[in-house]
Amino acid sequence: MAEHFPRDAWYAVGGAAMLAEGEIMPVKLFGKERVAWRGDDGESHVWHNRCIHRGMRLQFGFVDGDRLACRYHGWRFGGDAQCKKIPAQPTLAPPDDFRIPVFQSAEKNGLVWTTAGTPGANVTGLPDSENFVFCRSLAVHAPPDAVVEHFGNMDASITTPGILSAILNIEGADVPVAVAIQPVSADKSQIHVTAGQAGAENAIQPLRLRVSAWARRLRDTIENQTEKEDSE
Amino acid sequence: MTRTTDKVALNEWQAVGTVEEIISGKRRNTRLLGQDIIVEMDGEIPRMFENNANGGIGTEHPAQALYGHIWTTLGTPVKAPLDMPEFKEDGRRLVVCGALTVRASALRIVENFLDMAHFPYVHTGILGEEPITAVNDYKIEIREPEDEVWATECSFFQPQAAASADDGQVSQYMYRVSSPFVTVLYKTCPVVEGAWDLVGIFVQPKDEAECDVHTFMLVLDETSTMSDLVHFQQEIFLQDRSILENQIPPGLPLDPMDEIAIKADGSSMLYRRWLRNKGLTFGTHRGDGSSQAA
Repeated sequence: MAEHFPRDAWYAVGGAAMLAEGEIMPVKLFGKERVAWRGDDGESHVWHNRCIHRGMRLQFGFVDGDRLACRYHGWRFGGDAQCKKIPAQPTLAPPDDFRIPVFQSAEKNGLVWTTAGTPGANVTGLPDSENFVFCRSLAVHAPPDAVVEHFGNMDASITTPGILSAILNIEGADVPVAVAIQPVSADKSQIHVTAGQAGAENAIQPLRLRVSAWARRLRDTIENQTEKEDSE
Repeated sequence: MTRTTDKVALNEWQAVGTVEEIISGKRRNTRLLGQDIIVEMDGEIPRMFENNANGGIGTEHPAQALYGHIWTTLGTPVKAPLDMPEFKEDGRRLVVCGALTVRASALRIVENFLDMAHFPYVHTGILGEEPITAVNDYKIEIREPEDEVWATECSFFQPQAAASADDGQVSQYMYRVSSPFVTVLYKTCPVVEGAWDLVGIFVQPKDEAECDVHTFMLVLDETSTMSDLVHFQQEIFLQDRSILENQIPPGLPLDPMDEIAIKADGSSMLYRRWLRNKGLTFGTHRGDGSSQAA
């Protein structure tokens, strides 16, 4: 997996619009559990999915303003991941080291991005994608490398790790698409599909539907292929 | 998994089913510490046998009926099951709630039972509620010669402390851990002033990360129906299960550096230290990667 999916690269983990204010989303990258959430201040975050106190998965917590609360004991963590409040001991000022480990994250091209390493400060995003819109995310029960290989057979290019660009012909028109592959684990992937949109605002929804339909067929093909290879 | 080699875990008495369910002629096929076992009644005598992989009945081990449950051991216990003289008192009702399967370490389950700080968040509106979330100072000790962990002078404000409670009350608690897998709490009785109700869990560790939790209550409550009492307790334990099955790592970390603790976690920290001093490894998180629970 290391060749196509370096640890230090940026990976899309979901559509930014899927993570509304006050929402929490579990995320997996290279088999490790993360939690993505967005405070009422609009900021999104990607953290370890584990409370430092008693190990509770933070994905089951709740957003309280611009803080994330753990479901188990209500500990509140600010956007900087520092513990701000411990309800069991309200007078205790939480020490500096009461902090959830975080991962670099950013939003670009309508996607939330994160990493397992230390990429450059600026998120790369999709190549040549000024007018790209997010279409949908799909879980693929196939290794991330299998997804890359499949695209290799269909005249797609990879200029950025984990991102495949191709031109689709949809109903006679050429549509540029970019698929960001999320290496979920050794045998699972997620694909985040975006498409170039040159037409009017009201053309976005039909484009989404067509590209999503293409993405579902693509997913089925990759899964069938993987299943066949497994049974051989 | 196969039967654990952890002698500390093997040398304890464990509850593995209720007298009521097994006396009705039902054998219970279950598992204890990774060993498949059969529990049955021979007249009035409870018996436990290993259940071999080929389906044959294997070695017999000691068994006894106590507190509405069948207790057994795969090892050589160093002490008897805990003594609860309240079971001989007049006017108390024993409520046996039955087994609830929880995919978690027995030690995480016991530790959660000792914890008051989660009441407002996990048992919202019943055992606690924001904004009254502070855990008042309490006392912790190891009692000798019983070798038990105790937390006393505990108190917490509760909107609905028991099935029989109409209003909120400040409940007084005492907690007692008599084996790594057995714990009981004593709680202000909402009906009889000055009396304690007992609630306890006998955790049957089937594997390092899966248990049957046998729950009982011994209460002074003549008005609630049996099903009210059972439902109240089941609701509480189902809420706890949603937490217990989502703790990472599944095994209980005994190294104080692994998880952060505050003063309110005093009973948890003493329980962890007590387990560490016993040399227990079953159900713990081992940093060397050998933890089967991780």
